[in-house]
Amino acid sequence: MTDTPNSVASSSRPSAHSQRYDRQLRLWASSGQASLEKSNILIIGANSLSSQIIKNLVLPGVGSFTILDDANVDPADMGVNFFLQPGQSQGRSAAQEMASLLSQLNENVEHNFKIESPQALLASKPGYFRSFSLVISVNQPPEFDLALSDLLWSIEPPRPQVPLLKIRSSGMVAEMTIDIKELGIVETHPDSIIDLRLTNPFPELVAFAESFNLATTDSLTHSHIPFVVILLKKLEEWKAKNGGSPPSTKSREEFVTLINSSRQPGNLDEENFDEAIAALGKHVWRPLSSDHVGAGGVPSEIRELFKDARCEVLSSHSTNFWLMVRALRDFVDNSPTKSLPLTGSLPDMKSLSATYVGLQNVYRNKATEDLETFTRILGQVCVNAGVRGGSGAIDEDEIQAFVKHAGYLKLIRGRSERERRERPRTDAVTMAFLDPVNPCTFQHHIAFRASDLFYLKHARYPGSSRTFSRNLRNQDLDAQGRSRGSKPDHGADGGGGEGEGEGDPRKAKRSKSNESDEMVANGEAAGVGAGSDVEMAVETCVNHEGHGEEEEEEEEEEKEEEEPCFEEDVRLLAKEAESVIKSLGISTDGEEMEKIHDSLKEMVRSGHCSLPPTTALMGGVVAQEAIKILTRQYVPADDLVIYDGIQQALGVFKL
Amino acid sequence: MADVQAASSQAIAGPSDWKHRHKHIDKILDRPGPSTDEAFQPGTTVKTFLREQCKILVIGAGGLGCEILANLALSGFRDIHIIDMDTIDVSNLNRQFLFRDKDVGRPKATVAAEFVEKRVPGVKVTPYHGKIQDKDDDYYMQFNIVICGLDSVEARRWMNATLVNLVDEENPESLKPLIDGGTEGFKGQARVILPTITSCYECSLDMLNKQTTYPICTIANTPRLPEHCIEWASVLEWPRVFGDKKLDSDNPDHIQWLLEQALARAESFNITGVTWNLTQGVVKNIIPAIASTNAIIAAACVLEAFKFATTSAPYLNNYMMYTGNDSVYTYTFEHEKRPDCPVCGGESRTLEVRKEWKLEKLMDLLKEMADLQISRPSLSLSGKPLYYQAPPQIEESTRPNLEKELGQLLEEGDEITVTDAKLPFTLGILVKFV
Repeated sequence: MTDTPNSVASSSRPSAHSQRYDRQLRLWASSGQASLEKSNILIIGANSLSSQIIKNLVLPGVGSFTILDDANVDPADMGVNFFLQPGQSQGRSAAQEMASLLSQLNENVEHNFKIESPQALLASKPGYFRSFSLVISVNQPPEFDLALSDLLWSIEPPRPQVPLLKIRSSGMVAEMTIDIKELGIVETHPDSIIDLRLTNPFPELVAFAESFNLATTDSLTHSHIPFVVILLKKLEEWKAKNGGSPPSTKSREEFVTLINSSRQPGNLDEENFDEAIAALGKHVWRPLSSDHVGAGGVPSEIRELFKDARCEVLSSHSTNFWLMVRALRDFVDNSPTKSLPLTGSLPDMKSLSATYVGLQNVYRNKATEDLETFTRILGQVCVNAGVRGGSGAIDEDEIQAFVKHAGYLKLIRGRSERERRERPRTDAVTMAFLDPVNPCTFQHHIAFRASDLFYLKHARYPGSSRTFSRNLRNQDLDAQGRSRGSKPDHGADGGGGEGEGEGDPRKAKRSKSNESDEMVANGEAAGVGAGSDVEMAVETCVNHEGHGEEEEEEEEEEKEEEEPCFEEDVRLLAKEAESVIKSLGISTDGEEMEKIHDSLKEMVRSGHCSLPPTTALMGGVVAQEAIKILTRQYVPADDLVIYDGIQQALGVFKL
Repeated sequence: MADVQAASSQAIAGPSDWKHRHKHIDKILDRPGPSTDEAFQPGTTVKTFLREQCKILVIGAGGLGCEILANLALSGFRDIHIIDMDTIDVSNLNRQFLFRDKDVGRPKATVAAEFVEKRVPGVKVTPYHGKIQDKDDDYYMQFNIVICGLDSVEARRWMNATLVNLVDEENPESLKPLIDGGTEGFKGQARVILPTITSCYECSLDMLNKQTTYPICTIANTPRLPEHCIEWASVLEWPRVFGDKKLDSDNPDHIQWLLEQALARAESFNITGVTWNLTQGVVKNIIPAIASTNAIIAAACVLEAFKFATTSAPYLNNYMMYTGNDSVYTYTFEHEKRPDCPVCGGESRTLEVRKEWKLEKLMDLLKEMADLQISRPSLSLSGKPLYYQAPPQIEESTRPNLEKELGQLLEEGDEITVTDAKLPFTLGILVKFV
């Protein structure tokens, strides 16, 4: 079914590049790979969750990534972060360490780090954030995420929009929201793009079918008549007998009988007739009962695109997607049968080689003809819109891909973070609790939101100490009057191995509070295994802490590290949840409340901790969505994804 | 001098523990959640088991295996064993993140173990570069949990059958939870099997997608697709030209030869689309694989292992299917145990046949059964061969039976024994004439 010609290029041995990426090129092809390799991604927050995300972007080979964070490696995070190296990374910039270790996964990827506070940078240099193809914000405060979302949402064409992904996790649950203003997807990868037009055949196809005789007595010939021809002939026969009308769903059985009546008695080799009957559902009944692809019609989703304002009003800033949608609309208007261009794909079917190739050429020639017409129309559309490059503005391959997927285009028009917060879609929330098939996950979104409100009041996450909470956010603590640990003297950019090989130019000074985080002597080095020695080591550490030189400071720190009371935090969090529940219009007397309350308890229990399986799973989901957005292939989630590891379920909601 | 040595050995080994190392994970282990089982013993008990006693086995150090290993180590498992028979290929590097270019050609299990031990101090990863079949019941008995991250149906069937057979009702320790993950492109699944208690791998064999196969007569006589030409080159032309010399799908010279033959054949039939890429894909039966899907499925598997080792949350009951090509979707459900499952079911299986059918027809029927997945069955009755695929002498002497009617060979209620290289057990089938 591939249309690739037997060219010299495609028959030569693959390059090192295609060998490395072979298993993914079979999914998104070289066009998708090229888009990935052109992309530059900003990741805000250097932590165990972001390292899992970046890993899955570096491996498939994005162009470049930059980690933005001013914090030093947090010893707790190092325990759950695979891209920090104990014995080496402690006391250093987390962004720099992660960038360096992650870059080892793929030499083709450019790696950068920026040691600066995200909040400060957003205030001082907002333009910085707009220079990326995609921004991923990990475990950042909601106020920051909202400000960043506002900034990126305000970008207007011709500047390319910058999609924003916001992610957080807590114990066994996690969530991601995606801000996409608009994404027109051509290569949606439907299961099949086969469009046989049996119920609405074009003249060349009719002529091809006429050259066959179902009554032939030659058994080899008879058992090799392609099912497409059998169905075309039988549809004609039916129409001739029934005043020109096609079979209806009521007459299914009669039509099957009519097909079977042309089987050759005694010929056991008639799989072509079996194939004809098997193809009825997809290629006859469905096209007859709807306006879908296959009947030569235009699916309703595509009609919606034709009515869109961006299709109506074109300008020199119009994206290729909309220019082509407009050309598609004009194409359909000009088509005598009001059809989309033909894809030209043909499934395999029992037939002789020459017959099959002949039939394939009938479809392909028609598809080529349609493509040429479409290209001509598109050229005119581009000229009329005043697009730079005029009639040749859009690449041939892009046009070809568009025409092949014309019946399967997808438009995602998302909402901004502000819209979601100020005008949540309460009907979606109601539906969220009513999934008849899968476990409900929406309650965790409420818990996350309540937890944000909790933080604003108590300067920590429910279930966690202030120190732990702040380390999770990698927050700029100077603003709150306390220094968590060593900070590099100044903001710094780095990357591409710039800092490597010259020692660590920004070698951090260690502050008092960090000293207690110092590595404990190694059990293995002493010639004993892990296990109980580990506990001893920890004990030593605790004892040592008790005899600190400046006890006042230690006490202060202890207070900051104090573990909160579980029951009290559940109560306080439930209070915060009330306003979230109200704003989302959730009824407070149903089963919903039970689910929500359980989720709040789980939230306090986990205290926003990073559980490696959860961060790894979310790292996969986030990277996958990023890849779909960057390649404009497959269909990304729209717009809130929630993972519940207790029930092992992912839910998607459009808030 | 001694100081220098001490310092350098520490630099190599790295510190094995530090304050706050377990802070994140301990939050989950210090307190139950609303759905946690009552048996959960928070604090020292659960931590000691996870970090000092629990022994876990990972099968496969590929796309899933690398993720599973790293994640287990970070999650606090410290005694991890890994089995893999493969060596590293350059096409692994787009997802198998424990390997680098310099490792190409080395055993996956060894390299993966070395890397994880270096990155996560204090973890012991014991590699075995070889087949799962090399190990006996005593070996498997030592583990608390087994996780499979495989791409082979046969290996999974063998592991599943082995763990089901290991179960001794007198000994609760003999029941090893089996966690199984699998991916293909943007899709995957993770499941939990409690041998003999829940649905096992064999119970769900009919859920597998049917592999694309091309009828030999199409390949030989009426090729239509580029795939047909490639199959012709590998299945018919290669043995004709090279005799017994084995085709090595990893050898680029072999692929080149197949490509040239396929191209020539395609041109003579006016078929287009034969490429290097397609040739390699058809010959090796390549399944697309990406880092992100592997991360998702492996993580789900590790979380289930973590739940088993800690009882900190209820485990998955028992199947999660994942698709990521159109938005993100999971389907979580309980797959039912099959009472007549040849591995874990108690009931024997009955097959309705007609007396006038030939034995060959029965063979075809068995080959088409989606829940058996066999291709070259051998049949016997009370120890006497009905038809054997090998050795050649017995194949020859039993071949005439294929043309005989079942009424001549069997009686109502007879139990036929079916064996096949792909079956990790012998299957008994009761004959019922209709």
